[in-house]
Amino acid sequence: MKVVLGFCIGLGGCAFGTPSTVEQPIQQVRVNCAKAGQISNEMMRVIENPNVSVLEWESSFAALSGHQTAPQRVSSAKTILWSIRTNCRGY
Amino acid sequence: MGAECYVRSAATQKLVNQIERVADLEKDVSPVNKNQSVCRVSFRAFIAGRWHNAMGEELFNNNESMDQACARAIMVTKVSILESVGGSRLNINQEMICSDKPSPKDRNKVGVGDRVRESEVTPHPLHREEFGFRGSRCRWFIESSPLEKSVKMEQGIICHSPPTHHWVVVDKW
Repeated sequence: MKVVLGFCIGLGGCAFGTPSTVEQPIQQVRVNCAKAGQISNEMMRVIENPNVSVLEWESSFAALSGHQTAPQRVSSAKTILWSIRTNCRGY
Repeated sequence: MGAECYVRSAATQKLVNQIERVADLEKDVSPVNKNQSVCRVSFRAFIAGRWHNAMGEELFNNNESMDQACARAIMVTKVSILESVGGSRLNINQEMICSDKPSPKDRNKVGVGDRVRESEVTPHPLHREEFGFRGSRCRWFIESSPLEKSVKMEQGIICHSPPTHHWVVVDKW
């Protein structure tokens, strides 16, 4: 069973994973829209090149996908990016 | 002096299921005789994590409103599908999406670029609402595939592709 602890991204956003037997748990990400531009740029960089660092969010970013393989980093980045596009206008 | 007594009773039914979403609605009105017509409806209802096919009809006099008759047909069919799935009381939280033929089907796997009907993918449990992205209406979906000892869960985004009733898978991970 995989347990992923909650983490925060942006100033006011937190993501909470639930214990799951799935390979890649579905997790909710709440993003502070005030930082949406900066975060979405970082996420698009990761999607293009999973090896780049995501600066100040690197540690919490890792919590989304557990082990930091390239596909897992891309998956985390897409989850965050689409959460931004869903909740913040214009991204 | 004796008090007047009466029995008052109230019954409640516990809600078991609810229709979370209705998609791919089709309506067909045809005459039955010179005075009456029938409105046949079919749609897919998302109940308890699964899409269900629903079909029903409503007979109406030709001096009645066709739209009202079809609305009744939809309502009756919703009740019917809810009862058949195990729910006992109607409680609807939904959007209505009109569509055209052919009928949607359950798809095991979709890929980026695929054109799908809305009810061919499973709504995302955490992102249920539609959102706007670059002028399109988009939705999240999930797709699960069984592995040897676990389940692989993927997420994706579909965006509506007007003027058709199809949606395009724009991302999946």
